[in-house]
Order: sequence, then structure tokens, then C-alpha cells
Amino acid sequence: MEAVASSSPFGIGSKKFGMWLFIVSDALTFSTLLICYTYARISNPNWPAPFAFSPSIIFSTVMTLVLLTSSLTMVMAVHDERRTARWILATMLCGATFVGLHLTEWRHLMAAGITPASNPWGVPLFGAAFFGITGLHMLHVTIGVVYLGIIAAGRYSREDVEVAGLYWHFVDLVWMFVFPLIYLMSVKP
Amino acid sequence: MMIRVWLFLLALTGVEVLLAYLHTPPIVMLAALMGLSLLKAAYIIAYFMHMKFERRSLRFSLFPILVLCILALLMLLPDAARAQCVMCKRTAEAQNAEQARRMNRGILVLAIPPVLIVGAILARAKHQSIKSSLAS
Repeated sequence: MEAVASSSPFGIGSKKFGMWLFIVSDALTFSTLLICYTYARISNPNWPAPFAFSPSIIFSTVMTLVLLTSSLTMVMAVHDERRTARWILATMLCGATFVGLHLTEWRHLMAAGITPASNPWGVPLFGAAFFGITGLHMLHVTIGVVYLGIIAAGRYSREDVEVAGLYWHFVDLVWMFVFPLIYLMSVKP
Repeated sequence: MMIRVWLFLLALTGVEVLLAYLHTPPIVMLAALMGLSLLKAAYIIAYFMHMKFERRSLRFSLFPILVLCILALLMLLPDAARAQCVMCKRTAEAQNAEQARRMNRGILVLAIPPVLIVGAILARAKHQSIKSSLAS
């Protein structure tokens, strides 16, 4: 391991470098989606702003706090070598809570009449953009929970835990852009 | 250390939600939110993802290309925004001069708090980084 690390021009193992490359490409996927959403939104004056401060914004703020906390527990999993599995389980629990809360939020919105092709307020594209972006993010969180489960259950090295941590922090980072652009910019006036 | 970063991120999220609660005008809101979110992303990458402690060569091979691609994606944004601006201009023109003047003043007053908040946070971050570089 030492030999591999010292021969790399970046001073890190190839697994970690591979995960960084994936993160950069996935960051572009999400930037493209969010920027397209911004384009669609700016060029449609009657873009709907359906999220009431209470409950939608409060709900999504709690989701943000849960995800931020899961990042902290993941940092602990990487640093606290003796209790790694326990910290990973805490992270998975936070991730699962996030997905659960998000699905509840989705159900409320569907009950209010938002579908990918229509909504009661304005531009039909709103539903497609909303479910597309938040759905892709939720898929990432779900995959992250499964990934962490595999890492916690098997006998994996410290590097594998760290690489899983990178993925998890990236999912958290993406939400830091999805949350303001999708939710906070669409507060019901 | 990491707990302090976490608390800082929570505080920035709080500021973002506060801006939404105050119904800040959209353009100011967008600028403030993007500033705060980029700051949050920088802290997550630097501390949680350990980038601050990696070799400079790794940073230089990953991030410039990402930033350039995102800037390229933003290239046509002013064109999309123009459609909206024409509408704003017509609405403003339809009102009389006194009302337009009041609206301008209102926009300026509403712009003060978020600018101050973001400015204070940036100044603090700068101060911290100077302090930590002196300490090390």
C-alpha cells in the first residue's frame, strides 16, 4: 500500500483517485441538471412557487440538518478506527431518515396535484424538473446507504471506508445546492 | 475541529432559511444563496472530504476543469434572463415615475441585510484562514 501511494503523483491510492474522478463527473451531471432547471425557470415568468414556509420549507430544512449530521457521523467513521461500524450504521440511519422524509414530502406534493407532466399553478415542466432533480439525488442517497451497508458488513480496509465517505459527503454537497435552488427559491409568496 | 465545521455549516443553512423566511427579492436571494452554498461546498470539500490535506497536484488536476465546464454551461444564461427582463421593464414602465422611484429604493433597502450577512461571513472566513495560517 505504501509503495502504491508513494508512486502516485497525487499521493493517494488509485481507489480514492477513481472515486474523485467519479465525483467530478457526477458533479457535472448535477450542475447540468440544475443549470437547465435555472434556464427553464428564468425563461418562464409563470413558473410556480408552491412551497409554503410551513410545512414544506421547515420539512426540507430538517432533511438538510439530517444530511449534514450524517456527514459528521461519516467523518467520525473514518477517524474513529475502533467504532467504524457503529458510526457507519449511524450514517446509514440518517440517510434512511432523509429518504423517508423526502418520500413523505413527495407524497404531500402528489396529493397537492403535482405530477411530472402537470401541476395546478403554471408551467407543466415544473413537475418534471422537481421530480427529476430531487429523484436523482434521492437515488444517490439510496445507493449510498446500500454502499455503506456493504462496507460496514464486509471486511474492508481503512481506504475503502474513506472512499465510501467521499461518496457520502458528495451526496451531502449536492443537496446543499438542490435545497436552496429547488426549495428556498420557490417559497410561496 | 470537524464539529466546528459542522456547526458552521448548520449556521449557514440557518441564514439561507432565514433569507427565504424574509421573502428576499429573487435576484438578491439567488446571489446570496449561491454565495452561501459555494462557501458550504468549499468547507465540505476542504474538511469533510479532506481536500485541504491532499497534495496540490490532486487539487489542480480535479477542480479547474470542473469549474471551467460549469462556467461554460452558464454561458447562455443572460440570453434566457433577457426574456424575463423585458417583462420587468414593461411592468415598471407602466407604473408612474414616483412609484418606480419607490420601488428602486425598496430594492436597495432589501438588498442591505443579505449583503451585510454574506460580507460578514466572508470577512470572518478570511480572518479565520489568516489566523490558522499564522498558527501553523
